[in-house]
This record gives sequence, structure tokens and C-alpha cells, in this order.
Amino acid sequence: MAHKSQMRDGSGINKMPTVFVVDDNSAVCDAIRGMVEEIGLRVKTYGTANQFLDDLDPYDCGCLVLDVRMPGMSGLDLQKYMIERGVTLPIIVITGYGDVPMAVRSMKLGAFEFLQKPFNDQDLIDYICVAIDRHKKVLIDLVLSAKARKRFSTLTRREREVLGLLVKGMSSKQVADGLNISVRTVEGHRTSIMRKTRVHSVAQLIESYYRAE
Amino acid sequence: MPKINLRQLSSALEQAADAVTITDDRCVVEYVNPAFESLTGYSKEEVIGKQAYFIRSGVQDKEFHGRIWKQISSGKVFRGVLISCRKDGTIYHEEKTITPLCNTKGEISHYISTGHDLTQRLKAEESIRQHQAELAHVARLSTLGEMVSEIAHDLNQPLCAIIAYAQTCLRVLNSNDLDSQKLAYGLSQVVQQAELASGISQNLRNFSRKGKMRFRQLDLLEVIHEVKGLLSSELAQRHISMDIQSIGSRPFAFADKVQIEQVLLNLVRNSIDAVNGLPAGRKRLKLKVDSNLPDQVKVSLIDFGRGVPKDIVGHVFEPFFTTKKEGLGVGLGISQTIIEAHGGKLYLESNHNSGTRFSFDLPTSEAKRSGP
Repeated sequence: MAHKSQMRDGSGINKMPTVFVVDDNSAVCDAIRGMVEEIGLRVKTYGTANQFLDDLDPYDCGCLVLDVRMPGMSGLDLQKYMIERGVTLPIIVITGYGDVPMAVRSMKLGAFEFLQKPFNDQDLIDYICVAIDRHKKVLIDLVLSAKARKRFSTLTRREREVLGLLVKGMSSKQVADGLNISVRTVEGHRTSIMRKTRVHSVAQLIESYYRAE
Repeated sequence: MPKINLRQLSSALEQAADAVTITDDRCVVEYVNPAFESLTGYSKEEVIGKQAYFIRSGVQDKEFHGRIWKQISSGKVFRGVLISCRKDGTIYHEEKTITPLCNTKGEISHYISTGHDLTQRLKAEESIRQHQAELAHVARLSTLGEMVSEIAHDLNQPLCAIIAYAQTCLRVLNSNDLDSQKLAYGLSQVVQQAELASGISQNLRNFSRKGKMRFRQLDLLEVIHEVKGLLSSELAQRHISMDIQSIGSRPFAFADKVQIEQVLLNLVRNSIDAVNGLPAGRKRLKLKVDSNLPDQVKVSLIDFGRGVPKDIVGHVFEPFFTTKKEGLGVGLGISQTIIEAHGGKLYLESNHNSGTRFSFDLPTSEAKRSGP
């Protein structure tokens, strides 16, 4: 764990991306490991879905290369489990012969891409790179919205009322009329809101507000 | 005893369907009937006065004929199959009885030989065997057809690994840092996976092969493990476990490998269907081999399914009887034919709503094959 936290930045994201591979066929796992290591990415392989889940950190950045057809917990079950627990790791599904209907179900559940075995190495590498990039953005978004939520939670009830109207695009005057208070009081609340949520303009405030939602 | 006169007796001999030869005590022919003439192609005139040895084909050796001579000359009746030769040189199998006749002093004076041609019967038997072998072959192909998706999946795994390893090797070759260790590792994995794939295809070729039965001392445990290998991905996919239990020493049987494999494959696949869809605790199969029995080995396949329904239990061995959408419904019937051709028996040993047990036994050696 100490090793992991060293690689995290202030946001709590595990910055070094990892390619996770789950396939019950150890040769396929090993071959993908070699392929991914060769392009300089970190890779971890697992023979079963449960081994992978035991090892997974929700802040891991990267992607999952997953065989849909496995004994024990199937790829589809694993995918459903990850969705239920809000794990955002993008999934690249690899399927063997005759598993295309399963791959389709997997895509409908939101899998990132799907490849049929045997696959071309460049295809897999391309998908992995795109998936990792997207996951970085997803994680940053998640962290930013978590921070924003935390800041908005420090507002008073009155400040929240004011904020609710401000983000609808109302002017201070309109807010004052709406709440039956003076414009000066509204402006006092607005300054306090912007200080607490660390924004410098109403535009930033609105963006931050919707991120937090 | 009703009185029969000599003429009637002689007429009976003349009209008998079996070939009859009467020789003196030194095997010199004194009489042959018309059936003998038409069977052998020799006329009465050609053979009377000659020693009966002209009929020998030479396929059976001198010792064999010596033993017969010893037996009949000591006054005992000989019954057996002789391979004889017609006048035109063709060879035929003859079921023969040679009876010594004694005179009033108790000395052997004549030998009477009666026989009939077995060629037609042997041909018919051979043709039945051939039909059974062909039917078994068709059933094997049909089974493989049902398994084609599993088989393709099994073959695809090593191919996928091979391509991935090879492509990585190419990447290493094209990179600036030419790491020979990485290349050697990748290539050795390619070889290993290719051998694995080749092993799978070899097994399939052997199994789908059409050929004569080849009986030999067969290690049943080895065959059982091969069948388990063939079905491993089907079992894994359906989350079914299969235990193998061996009682006694190495279970050898006198059998044809491909056909026994076929029987095991049929039985296990039936049981997979029986437990498929049941709760996890019942998704278990057990293959038990018992070599602790006298002269035979017994194999049982136990499943923990719901049993064969009462209304169909009498039909499971009938050809083309099936409750499944896929398949010909010849599996169990063919299996029974195969086991019986091996001198064994295949039967539903027990059937409850908590599971079934199909068993078959096989003779341990060729000598035990013709047993009861």
C-alpha cells in the first residue's frame, strides 16, 4: 500500500496507469503482458475475476482487458459488479470463438471496446492507450466534483438559496426581489459563496456548481 | 426305434445339405455325398480312393491337423472350424464334425466327417461389424459436430497466444534495444503453444478417424483423463466439476481406445446435460473405475442430477431417442453396442431423483472376452 500511495498525487489518483488483464488462459495473459510491457506500460494479470477484485484499488488509473468467457465469475458478472460499485476502469473485452453474442451484451453494459481473439497487437495497444487517456479524465473529473461537493457543503441555508437563483442566471437585483431582501445582502452572500467555493467569477461558480451536482 | 432301411439311410446322406465324407481308418475316402461335390468342386470319382488331405488349405499348420488326428484316432469326436481349399483353389471356412466309427471289435474302422460352409455367415458377421463401426463413426462425427464451438474455442486460445507472442517478438526486433532474452522467451512460448494446438488437433483426428477396431491392453484411467481434457472447457463453462476416482491397481481392459473414448464422451456429455442448470452443489460428476473385480474392470459415471424421468427410462438406449434439441439421439445406443462388441455390458445401474449412475464393465484381457 505504501508503494501505491507514493505514486498518488494530491488528488488521490493513482497516477501511474496500469493495464489489468483478466483471462483464465495463462498463455494469453502472459502474451498480453509481454505486449503491454514492450510499449512501456505497467501490467498486472489475473486468472480469475475474484483475484482481480481482491487486488483492485478504486483509485487505480488504467484499463481492464477482460475475457468475457471464464469459469467462476464470468466477465459479464465482473462487469456488472464493477458498475454496481462505481468502478470506472474502462473495459476492453476480448472474446474467443463464438462468444460474439456475449461481447455484444458486454458492450451494451458499457464496455469501452471489444476485440475478437486472436487480435492484432496494434489494435489492442491503440485501444489500451485511448482507454487510459479517457480514464484519467474520468478520474480527474470525479476528484474535482468530489472537491466541489465538499466546498458547496460548507454553505449556509441562506447562501444555498441565493446560489440556487444565481446559477439560474438571475441578477443580484432579481435575487433580492425574489427573496425579499436587499441587493446589498445578496451581494454579501455572493462574495461569501465565491470565497467558500474558491471561484473568481459567476461563470466559474456555475461550472463548479454543476460539477458538484 | 422305428426301423429305417439302408436305402432310406443312403438316400438321407445323398440329400443332406451338409457335406459328408466317409473315410477308412487311414483317411482314405470311401464315400462323398453330392453336397460335398458342390461345396468343394471335386467329383466323387476324383476323390474316392484318395487320402482326404487334399482338402487342406495350408492356412492351418501341421501341428493343428496333428492335434485333430490325435483326438479322433483316440476315439473322440472333433468339432471345430477348418479352413479348407476348393478344387479351384479358393479357400473357405468350414464348420466340421469328425466322428470315428468302431467295428464290432471296438477298433476304429471309419471316420465320418460332416461340414458346412461358414463363408456366408462369416461374411454376414463381418458386414454387421462393419456397419456398426460405420454407425459408431457417424455418431462420433455427430458428437464432434455438437462440440464444434467448444473445440474451436480450445484451439483459438493457443493461436491467440501465438500471434500475441510473435507480434511482441517483431516489436522487439524493430526496436532499438534488441533484447535477445525477450526474443528467446517469446519464441519458446510460441513453440509451446503451437505444440498445444497441434496436440488438440491430433486428438480430434484420432477421434474422428474411421478405421477398424484395434483391440489392445488399454489403460482406462489414461482414456478417462483424455476425455476429461476434451471436455474441460465445456465443464468449466458450465461450472461443473468432475472427479475421477480409481479403485485398485491400474485399470487395464482389452479394448479399442477410440470407441471407449466415444462411450465415455457420450456418458459424460449426457451427465453434463443432466446437471446443467441445477444449483451449484449438484453440478458434480464422478467417474469411478474399479479394477478390483475378477477378470473385469467396471467404470461408473455418477451424476447428482434429477435422474432419468420414469416415462423415458425404458427408452434411453433406443436409437434416435432423444429429449434434446441437438444431437441424433444415438449416443447411448451406440455406446451399448460398442461395449457389447467388447464383450461387456452397459447399463443404468441406479436412477433416483438425486442422481443416476451409468456403468459398464469390460473384460481385462482377450482370454476373458469370450467368457459368459
